[in-house]
Amino acid sequence: MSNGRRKVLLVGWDAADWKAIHPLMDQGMLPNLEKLVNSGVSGRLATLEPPLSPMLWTSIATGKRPYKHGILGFTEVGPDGHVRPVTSTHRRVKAIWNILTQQGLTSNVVGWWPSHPAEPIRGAMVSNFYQRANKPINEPWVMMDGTVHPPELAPTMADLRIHPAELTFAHIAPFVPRCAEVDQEKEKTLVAIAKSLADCSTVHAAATWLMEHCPWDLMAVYFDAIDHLKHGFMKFHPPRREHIPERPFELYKDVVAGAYRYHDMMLGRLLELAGEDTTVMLISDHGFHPDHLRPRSIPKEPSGPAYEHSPFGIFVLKGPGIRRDALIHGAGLLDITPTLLTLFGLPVARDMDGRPLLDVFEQPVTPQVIDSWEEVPGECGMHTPDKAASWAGTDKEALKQLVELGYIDDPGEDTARASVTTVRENRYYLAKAYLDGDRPNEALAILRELVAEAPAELRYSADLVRVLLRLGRAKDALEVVEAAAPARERQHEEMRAKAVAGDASKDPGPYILEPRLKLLRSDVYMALGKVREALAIITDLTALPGMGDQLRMRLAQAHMRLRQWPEAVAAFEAHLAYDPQAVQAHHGLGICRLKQQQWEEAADNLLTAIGLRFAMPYAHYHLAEALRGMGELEKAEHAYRVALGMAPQLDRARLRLAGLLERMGGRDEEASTLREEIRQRKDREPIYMVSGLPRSGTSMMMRALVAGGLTPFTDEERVADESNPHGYFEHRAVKGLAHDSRFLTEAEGRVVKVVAPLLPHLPARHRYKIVFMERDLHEVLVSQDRMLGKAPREGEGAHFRKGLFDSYTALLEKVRLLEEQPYVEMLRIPYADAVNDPAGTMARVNAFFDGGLDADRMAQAVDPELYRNRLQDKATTRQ
Amino acid sequence: METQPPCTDGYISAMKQEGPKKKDQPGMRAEDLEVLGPDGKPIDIPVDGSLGLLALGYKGLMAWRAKRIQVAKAASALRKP
Repeated sequence: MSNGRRKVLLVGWDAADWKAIHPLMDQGMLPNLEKLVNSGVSGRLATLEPPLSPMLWTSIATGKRPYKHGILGFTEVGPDGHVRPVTSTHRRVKAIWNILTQQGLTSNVVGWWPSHPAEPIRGAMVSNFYQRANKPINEPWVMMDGTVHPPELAPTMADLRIHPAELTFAHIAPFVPRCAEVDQEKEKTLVAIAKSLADCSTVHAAATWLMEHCPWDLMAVYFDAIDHLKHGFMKFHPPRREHIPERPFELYKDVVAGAYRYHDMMLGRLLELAGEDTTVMLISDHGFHPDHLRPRSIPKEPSGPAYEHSPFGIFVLKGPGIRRDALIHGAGLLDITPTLLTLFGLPVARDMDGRPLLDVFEQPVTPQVIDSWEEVPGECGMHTPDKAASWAGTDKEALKQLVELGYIDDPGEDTARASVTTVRENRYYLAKAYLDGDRPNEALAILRELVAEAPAELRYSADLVRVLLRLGRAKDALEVVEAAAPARERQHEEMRAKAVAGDASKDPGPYILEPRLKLLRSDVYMALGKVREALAIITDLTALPGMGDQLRMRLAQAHMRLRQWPEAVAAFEAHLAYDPQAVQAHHGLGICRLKQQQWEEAADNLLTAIGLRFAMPYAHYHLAEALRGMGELEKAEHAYRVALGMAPQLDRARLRLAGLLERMGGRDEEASTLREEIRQRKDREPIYMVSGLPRSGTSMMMRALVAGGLTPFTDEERVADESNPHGYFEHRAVKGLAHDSRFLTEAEGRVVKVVAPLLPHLPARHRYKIVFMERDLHEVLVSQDRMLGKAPREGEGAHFRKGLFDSYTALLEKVRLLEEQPYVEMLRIPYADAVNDPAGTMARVNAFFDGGLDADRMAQAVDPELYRNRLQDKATTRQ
Repeated sequence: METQPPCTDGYISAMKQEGPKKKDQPGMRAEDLEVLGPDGKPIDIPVDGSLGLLALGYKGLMAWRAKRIQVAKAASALRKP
């Protein structure tokens, strides 16, 4: 840290896992990593769901969950309609290198997934399309436009690429000592190893060159070879399992260890170039089961290989001011960017989903905080919206590799079908991300659509059931389970007919209800309180081989529901013997101990759970209860406050904390404030809202409600114009609702305009009374065109805007789903009615708002002259 | 938050003015292609390469490529009548 300025080397090893690393480190095979661990802090890094690398590495680089950053899978649909590997153009928020650019700091970034096209940051960026050889070695290896920033570096970077065919047995032998025995005509394994090795060596060559030749404050380099080699060869990693044949085991048992050893060698070089004063952070995005948790087979579904991932990656940090030879607990990959910002002395943003890991510092550090880096103006090196919308490049070799790894199906030649599949799959990942981020309402809307589109896709139904159970809607969940079985049966019968048509001996037989569906049913029964029925299903399934890991947790939970604590403890312990990192089992065990007033054991279990995954408010609450039982009142207070910090709606924790403060003495005032907060939360006024599609009469309704006596939530930034001569009644904060909804607290008791596309982002912590304006979609489209100065030509109608029409129709369906939510009350008002019968309409609106408004003045505020884009040639139809 | 002026262009111009220096570019001078062992002496580069060379990054890569060129030239010279 010369001149007091910190330099940070950030190294990413995709899929690195302590469970595989520790035995190798114990054998002295990873000396550089061992040195790093001993001279800094280390720990597990909890991943996110779904554990798909492009989403995860973007969360690492932004500190935000996928629904905020916008990277939603391995592939995306480009502007030409073709499926392509996901690109940086779809990222919506600033990455750490963009923030550093704004702060005058320099970053070199190599290989980050996804980073193509390279962003024009302050520093250098070599994209993730850089290393992949796309032609045989005797043909020109052209580097795609946008691979390197600044472009002047492109020729140098091109020279540093290593083609797989350039490698020799000398490179492969450390991975496969008996490589000469491999029949390369039949087995492509050596080629696969050479590809991974060439790719990561290329990235390393570029990184080392940049480290020596281009100044940097942050040097970020990402390697994917550990992940790729594990997907190909982890099945052969010792110990050999019974179903793995001996010959391939003997041939390939050293590949995974070889991958780690080579990465350790590269790490040694990076550390050497970085120098002692540089802060070094080594991370992985998820782990990879190296043991008995390795799945025997991979499900035949997109991203099926992710079943091999484990939920914890690695974290190591060393440098000036960082603790030495210490462990940290509870780190997650959302914490990386906040921690990097803190290391650079920059503020952490409130709209980030992670927190800085303050335990890593030798001396206490208090980070600065700002609302959002997104609002900080100035050049940050992100792609302009034009570039993001129009960039049409792709890397066919990268796409091919994703197919070979099993992450995506081959898109084939049917472009339309491939793009539909891609969009659908990415929506599914988005729903899973929402669920993981504890936003079940948003997940619900998407999963309902997916199940409607593909009723036989059990993944969609299973997650819909999970969401409905999270929302306490067990009866609806049961309907989903009951509907899934016939859909699966129909699909089975279709496949059966095809099989029999070719060869009768291939008849798979009649449909039998699948174990996964039975398990779903048991989950729903449990939620419905039919615990004994659930238990019967679970017991029935124990007879099936290979079901144990899915049954133990359910069995434990059933015993918990029946308050059979010793049986529950036994089941949780059995599961932990199988998977010692099962967070929910540690948590469940802690609850069981708590119920038996075994305070210290409970605290121990709960601390283990939190140490594995920090962001679990209920675990903190239960820990507080255990500490309270132990008489550790100050620690209990802290744990309650952590729980409330994560889940402000957790009134149970607030109430118990109030009681604790009273018991501690002298803190009655704080306790009464907490009790007052609970009372206020219950009595909270709703937020009055006007919504609808743009140009459906929302401004008119806002004007009417303000005339009727409601206070608008508006910043008056957008002024009246010809399209809306009486004003827009908008507030800038509303546009950012998807990222930051804190402004809604200010809007309580006031009326706020929120356009329909933003409604699905409303958080469940408020109550909403929404007047939803309906208008004929054709009129809406024509009115929008007029407003944008695109007046339709004679005879041109909405049929020319089919894409937008379909998109609006889908959106309105989402709004219908929102109406089902317990925190939403909605009144639909047809625009035509409001204009043609203002008095009658406003009387309805007033009644909806409990009759406290001046309906006459509301009716007078309606200006029928503004109904200018009326369809004359057809009766107005409602949506 | 005080914001910084855009720096990207400035950075690129600085790169153009200051370097990268010619000698530092891949495949330049023979002494830059030497790889030193732990004793500080140049090591013999195997023509088939090694993981150790690749792990050194660009320097190891360029040294290996230079060795291959050198061996190929020598072989070619031997073949000449």
